[in-house]
Amino acid sequence: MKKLSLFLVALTISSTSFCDIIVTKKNKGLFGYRYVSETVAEGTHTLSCNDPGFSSCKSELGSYNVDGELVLSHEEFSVIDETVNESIDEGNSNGKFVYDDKCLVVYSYSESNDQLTYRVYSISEAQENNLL
Amino acid sequence: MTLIKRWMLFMFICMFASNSYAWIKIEKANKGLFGYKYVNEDHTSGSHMLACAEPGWNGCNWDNPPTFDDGNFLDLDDYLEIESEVESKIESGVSSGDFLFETIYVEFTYDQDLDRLVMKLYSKDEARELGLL
Repeated sequence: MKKLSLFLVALTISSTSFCDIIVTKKNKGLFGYRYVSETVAEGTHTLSCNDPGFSSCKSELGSYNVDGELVLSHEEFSVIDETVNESIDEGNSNGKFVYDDKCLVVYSYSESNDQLTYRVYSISEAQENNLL
Repeated sequence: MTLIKRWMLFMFICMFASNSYAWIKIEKANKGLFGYKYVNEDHTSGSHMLACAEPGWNGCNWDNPPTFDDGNFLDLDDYLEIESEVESKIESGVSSGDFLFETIYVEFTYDQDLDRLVMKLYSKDEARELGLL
């Protein structure tokens, strides 16, 4: 019974330990953001940008690298970011698309909170998690 | 009419006349990631105001681009150039100031805590009359 419980816990943890990039933008000011925080840990690269200020919402690390599974240059990341913005501008407040056969992007925008979140998965990760 | 009443009437007319100058004011506050919810335009007594606020889907643009009473005309490119100059000054750390753009006098101020930008535009002659130049 204990072994079964342990197996279930391990299964739950492994099924939620995605390898991905998560970007959150909220309450941007007229000239950018006040707070830009970035963490890279346990398979996830997180970028959070909040409140009015003068900073851009981008990584300071030069590229986006998630355990070598998913590597995106600044230019590739900019294209993904623009594509997300264009899709939302066209009226799709949430959706997903595959970028360059390299990764899956899943995005969601809440107008009431003025909050945009998107996650970028490697293709294999997306397939493993039935997102594709 | 007594002399004092005439004097008061004269002062009242002077006070009103001194306030009836023309300007163009643009105010932007709390823009959302994709634009503004409220875009209001007002044209009254030779003065023009465009106010844009709150997260939404609209651009902060004039429906009826204003002209100054003296015929000075600003086209879209002029507005974009003025806005771009204001933005680059604010981004370089100057939160308020003024400058001349061709024949237009521009005043601007940005409050980061309120995320509110106000730009006020006068014709050069008007600015001189008001002692701004």
